[in-house]
Amino acid sequence: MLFHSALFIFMILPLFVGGWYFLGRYEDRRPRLWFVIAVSSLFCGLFGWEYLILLIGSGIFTYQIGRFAQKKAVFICGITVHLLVLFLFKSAGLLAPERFGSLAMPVGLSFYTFSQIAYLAECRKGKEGLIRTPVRLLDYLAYTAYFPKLAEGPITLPDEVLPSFSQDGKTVFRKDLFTQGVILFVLGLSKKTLLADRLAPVVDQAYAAPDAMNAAGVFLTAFLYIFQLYFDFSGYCDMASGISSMIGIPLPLNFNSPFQALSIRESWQRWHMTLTRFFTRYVYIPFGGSRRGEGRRILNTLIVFFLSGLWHGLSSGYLVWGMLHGILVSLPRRKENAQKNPLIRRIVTFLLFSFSFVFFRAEKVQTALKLLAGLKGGRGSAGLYRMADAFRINELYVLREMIYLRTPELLGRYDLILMLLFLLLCFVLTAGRNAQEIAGQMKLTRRNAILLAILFVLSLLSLGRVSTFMYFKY
Amino acid sequence: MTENGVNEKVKSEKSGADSGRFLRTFFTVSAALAALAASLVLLFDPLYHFHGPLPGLKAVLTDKEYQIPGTLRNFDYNAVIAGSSMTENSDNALYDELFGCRTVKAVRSSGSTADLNWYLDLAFETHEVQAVFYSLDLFSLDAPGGVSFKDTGCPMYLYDRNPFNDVKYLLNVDVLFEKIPYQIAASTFAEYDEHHPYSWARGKVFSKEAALSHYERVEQSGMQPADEAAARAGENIALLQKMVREHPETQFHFFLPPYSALYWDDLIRKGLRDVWLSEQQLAMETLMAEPNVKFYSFQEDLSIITDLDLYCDALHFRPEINDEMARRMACGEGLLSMQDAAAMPEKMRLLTDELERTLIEDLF
Repeated sequence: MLFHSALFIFMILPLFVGGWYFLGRYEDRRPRLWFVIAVSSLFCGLFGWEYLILLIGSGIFTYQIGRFAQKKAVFICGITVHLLVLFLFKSAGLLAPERFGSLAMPVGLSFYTFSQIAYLAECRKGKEGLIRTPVRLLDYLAYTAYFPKLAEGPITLPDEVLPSFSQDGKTVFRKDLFTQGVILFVLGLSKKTLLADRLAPVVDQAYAAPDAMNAAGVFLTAFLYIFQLYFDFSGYCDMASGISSMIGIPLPLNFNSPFQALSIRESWQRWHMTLTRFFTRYVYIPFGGSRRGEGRRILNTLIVFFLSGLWHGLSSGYLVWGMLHGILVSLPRRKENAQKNPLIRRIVTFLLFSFSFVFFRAEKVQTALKLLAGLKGGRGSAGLYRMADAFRINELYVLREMIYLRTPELLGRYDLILMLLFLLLCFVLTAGRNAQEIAGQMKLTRRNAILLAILFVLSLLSLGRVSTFMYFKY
Repeated sequence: MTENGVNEKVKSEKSGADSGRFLRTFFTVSAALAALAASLVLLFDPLYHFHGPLPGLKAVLTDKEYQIPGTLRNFDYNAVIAGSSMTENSDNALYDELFGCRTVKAVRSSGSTADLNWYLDLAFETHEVQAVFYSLDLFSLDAPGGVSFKDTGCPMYLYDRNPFNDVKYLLNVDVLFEKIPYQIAASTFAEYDEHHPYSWARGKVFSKEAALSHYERVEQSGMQPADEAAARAGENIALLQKMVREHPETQFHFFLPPYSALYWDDLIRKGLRDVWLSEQQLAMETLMAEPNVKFYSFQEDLSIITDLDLYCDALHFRPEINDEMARRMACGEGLLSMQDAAAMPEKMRLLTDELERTLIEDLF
């Protein structure tokens, strides 16, 4: 099941929120934890019941290992099993396509594997770690299966969500948090349905014929894809945070206006923040971080981004993408950079960031190079117009048909102009406050409620044609 | 309580009141807007899922996968034209006039027997169907059995009877901003021809050059054995036979459309001709044994199949050919007897071999 489906919005979400507060009337936390597990099992099970077995099995295994994680051998065994399972699913289709080509990645595996590794690492740290109160198996299973963060993160640490599940006491309905949750959910839903999914067919068109793109087409492809990915992934995270906020459990921020970053290093402090945090805390720092000299810092950074590429998949494009970012982040900071115009720095960072994601989207290096070869020139604009032809705003259907009937020769230009205006809108939207800030600071006026309702209904109307979230495959 | 404490409490109560008012407004306006959108869809119903066209509006039928289930349920008719894209250009009004009936179309691009059977079952469930005009395509008999709507991405919420998933139709941006305006425009100032639903002929070029430009001649391969026919087409033929037997009150007019000489050349080169002709013969003999079946053939009409100017590719002919078939069927031309059916494979083999030696050899 997906967040952006009528079944979820009209049935599961009200049932979940209502059930949580109903069971929250009891001091004993166990009924509401069983309820969380049941709803999460339904959420996961609708993708495939075998995934649910893996999820619950993995949760029980991690909890038991966690009890003895202070023994090094047990800890290593736990981590190894998690990484092996992850590697198995990531690599099976690639290494043996005939046999495992159709083996789908279990929903959320990459995300809950990392959350569980974090749990084991904190168990190993004992009292110095993030786990301060006793955790029981039921608490841990509810934490692992908790559906808002299951499929695409954010990747939580044990001091997030888990404390809310491990303490008895009645739940308190906080109207302000609930309202913020509703606002966040609607903003996330609209990011996905009104922005990301409009860009999807355009980007697909560009990557279907990468050698037909001229220089302008390559720029547009890189820009439109990074916006598509951002609105899709951050839209999901906003919806997840919104749902969780409705029941009073905050989730960590995963995207903090990443296109406002002034350097690639800063971009990674704003983009997929919980993944960066995981790698920093459990890979970079244990490897020595920057404490052992400049050479070691660079090496550690490269290792982190190589692993990040690997985490996304074993295709060459992901690995090149990871290494590119490793190199860009590990470059020594230069003082003169700080004196440059922030606008120029922001533009340069955006260009580097969006173009590096060409390798990420292409998955294969050859495809990415085919597209990027368009920058050399010598290609016509046919590919660009095909991209524009794939761009549709259904709400403007009547206008497009009128142009088609009266001046069909202008239709191509109309599509192109519309697509460029949409790109401009993407720049404007990402230059302002992010969804979390909007939800936290929105004045609760009647006018804003009406505007939010319009956004919500427009998003609802678009549910019939949307695709799955892009990070579901990781 | 201190002054600060009182202030905090007042602030918190105000914030709670603001939240309450905000949420009430949000949910009320959302519900009202959603209800408005759903009501518009329910009223105009451009996919005819709930009812037929509104008075004053035409039945605008252009999206077959989306509209056929609705038209079969909700339109007023007593005859069905069924088939593949070969049938889509048929003129409903001409059939109505020639056969004294009121027709709707149930067409599927692939002509899949199981899919067409599903459509016809729907028609029989909801209407008294007096006649079925069924274009029996060679390729459809050889197609895999089993309904393929779901696998081919058809909107299943329009196909099933589940009222809950109708929300996908009622709250749908495409329907609201595209289908309804199109329905209104086509019914008012645009010249939409209601008699040619799902027709694709407009804008197509029919000429020898066009037909040849779309024809890619494959390498010659060995002819597949004709005795595989029963195994390959048995399931589809059984489906047709079952349908015919279950509806003895309905007159079934099966007909074989005229494919161009290029298409026969393609079948020969792919080695499919003999087995497909045997499948066709098996279907004819099975169905003609039923008293409520008439079988017509136009596939051997040399005046049509050798004139490539009548085609836009190897398979698809001008709408005039659809009209011509209807006229001939109405006056009994092309009607086959059991003997004709038995002789058909050999007749077509000789005829297409002859075409290979003459027309096709000249072309390539």
